[in-house]
Amino acid sequence: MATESLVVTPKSRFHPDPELSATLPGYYYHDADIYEHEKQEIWFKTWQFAGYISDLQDPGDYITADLLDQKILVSRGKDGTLRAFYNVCMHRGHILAEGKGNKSIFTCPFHAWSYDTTGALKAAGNAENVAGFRLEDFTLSEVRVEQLGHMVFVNLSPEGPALSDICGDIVSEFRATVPRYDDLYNYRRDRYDVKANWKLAFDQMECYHCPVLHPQIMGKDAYLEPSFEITAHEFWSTHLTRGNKKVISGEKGDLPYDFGPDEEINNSAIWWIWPNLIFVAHRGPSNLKTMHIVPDGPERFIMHIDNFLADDPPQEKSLSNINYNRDVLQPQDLGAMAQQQLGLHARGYFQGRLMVDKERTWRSEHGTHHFDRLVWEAINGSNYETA
Amino acid sequence: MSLSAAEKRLHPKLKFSPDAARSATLPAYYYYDPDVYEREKQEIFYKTWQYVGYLKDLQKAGDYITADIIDQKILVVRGKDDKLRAFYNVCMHRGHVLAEGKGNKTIFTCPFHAWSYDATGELKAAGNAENVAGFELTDFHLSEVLVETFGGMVYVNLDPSAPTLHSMAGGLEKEFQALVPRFHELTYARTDVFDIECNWKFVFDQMECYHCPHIHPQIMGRDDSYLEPSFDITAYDYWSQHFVAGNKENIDAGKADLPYDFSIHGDDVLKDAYIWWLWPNSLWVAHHGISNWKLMHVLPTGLETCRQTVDYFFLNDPPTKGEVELMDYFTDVLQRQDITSMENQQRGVHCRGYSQGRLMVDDERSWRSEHGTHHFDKLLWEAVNGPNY
Repeated sequence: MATESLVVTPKSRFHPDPELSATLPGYYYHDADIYEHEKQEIWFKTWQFAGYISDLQDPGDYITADLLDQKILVSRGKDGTLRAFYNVCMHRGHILAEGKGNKSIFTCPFHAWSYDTTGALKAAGNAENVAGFRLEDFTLSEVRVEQLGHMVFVNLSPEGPALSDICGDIVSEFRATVPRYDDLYNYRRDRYDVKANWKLAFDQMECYHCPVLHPQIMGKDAYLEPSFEITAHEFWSTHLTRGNKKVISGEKGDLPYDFGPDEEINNSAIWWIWPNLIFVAHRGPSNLKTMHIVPDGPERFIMHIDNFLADDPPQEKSLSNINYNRDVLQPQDLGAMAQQQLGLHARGYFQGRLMVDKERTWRSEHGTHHFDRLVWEAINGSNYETA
Repeated sequence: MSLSAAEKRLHPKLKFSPDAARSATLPAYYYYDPDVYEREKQEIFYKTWQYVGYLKDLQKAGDYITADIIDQKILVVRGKDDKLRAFYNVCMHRGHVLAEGKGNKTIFTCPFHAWSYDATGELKAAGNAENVAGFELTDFHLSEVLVETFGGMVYVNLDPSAPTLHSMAGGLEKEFQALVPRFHELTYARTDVFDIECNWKFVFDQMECYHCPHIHPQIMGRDDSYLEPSFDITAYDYWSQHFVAGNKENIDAGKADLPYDFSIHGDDVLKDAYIWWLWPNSLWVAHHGISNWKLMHVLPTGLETCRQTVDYFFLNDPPTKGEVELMDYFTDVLQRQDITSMENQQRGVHCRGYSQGRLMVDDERSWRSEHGTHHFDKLLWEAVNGPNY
């Protein structure tokens, strides 16, 4: 890395106090060393979304997932226990299982080594003729797994707190906000490939940009009040935006998508779990979007949005909600991120100022600081002196 | 950027050993570590005999071919004196690539400033040289490398102190020519190129038949298979022969399910298949059926990618329907099966839960034993680490 990319503006730097803090330095968004640090200290040490419990109901049900270059297998055993493993045969490192389904034995396609749902190696061809070979030396390598509401998470690090200790309360918030939470099913997955560093997606956890990027939802005669109320916990937060009653009742303004004056969900809620997962419940019939973001190199990320709805078939206004999000709202946000990614390389830009006010108003960027501070500390520990 | 120490995982109990019967596989990081790749370049690709082309393209004075060995450019040319010479294919003025493709030339003129070399590598003309103080044409001879012909092929070696290819693997050439019927009459038919998303070593780790019944269920292990479960390896220091016996009973009785349509009678028919491996990166294969052979040549195109080039040779020009079926079968079916498993290994070995496995080598060195893989891995290990285990 060239030393010039290490230059930090002399007057402003990232600070643990949000009111005094700069943004993260520009090079944090394209530097290969930062990316490697993030891999080791964030991706391989935090709880990562792996899939949905609806795919893991019965003994033998399994799902597979990628976490950057790490392959994961989650399986429900005959004993009903959920286990997760590196999805790789212990012989020559070949990928063990693909996709999802139900299996009582996982057989490697390469040389047919066979493992049961507890990860024990049950058979290896020719093993009886190989000196000192013991099946029990080749148990699949296990990783931590936990269920949270309708989801399954894994953590590659054996250390650290349980997910339920970090954000167990989020599920009761889902239930309080989304009346038919237990009826939700994944109606559709939308995928986006974005030319931006993954952190830019979470830096948008502020509404300073809303009237500018999304004039149709916040601004004069728009359906949302200027509001963005953040309740922050250590590793997750809730963000609430309130509806404008006059617009919703039809007295003035336009609705961006179809909903009525009194819906199951009336105030839009956003939840974030560190580092890379967002949930959104939009105004309308019971709904919940999972927005899951993973890097694909330092300057690209992949986002999957799973659109959970309660009605099957869905109501027309629910479809209008998820199509509006896919076709209008997301392109506005993602377009800004791609433009930022291009700009952050400029040699005349080092880092900017996070616009945090004392009142923590709807325009204040303290939500961005929360995320950036956890990134900073994952990379630098509690050292705020150097970049 | 080097891998962090945390990425260089080793198995707590197993380790790579010179004794095949006790050895682990190579550590997983060997397949994605930039430092290992750099060592391989220096110690393997720039020090071993590397295939660069065929003698058929170098018959007459002035005939030349060009080739790449990773980032090194090579020119082989037959001189007026009928002697074959090989050079770095680069002008000694500013390092521009000198010649492209293949053809016939008496003078090689650099496209950049027109410096001109003859087929012995001598600089014959350089514009304005007479006005440049102390300039001597003789100071800018093309840089020569070792070249040797071997079984109709041309090999070069970038290491000037390397022993001759014939001293290392002369037996291979003899065996190959003796066992492939009418070898000298076989003519080039087709080249198939495979760009594979895996480290190049996975191609040669596949030199075992433990995987055959699983990855290629159609060729081995069924009542109507045309091959016996067999993989008899005769190993020498730097090459080996792998023999796969045909199921004669099935073939002669017409019961064998042949994957390609081939005559099974006559003097020119191979009823068994042979694979010869020459360290580090070429395989010569003669398949079951009317006399044939193919060269499979593999070069890294990066740390986690490689290119495999397959050249087919047959008795008939143009090839018969059966000969085309053979090529299509190996390209479209067998090769795809192997490539899928190699790419799925590349995706898997990054997993932090895997460090290295066990090479499944048995005492009898049966057809299922992975000692062929160990032979390759051991030479690899010693090239990277020396005799330090």
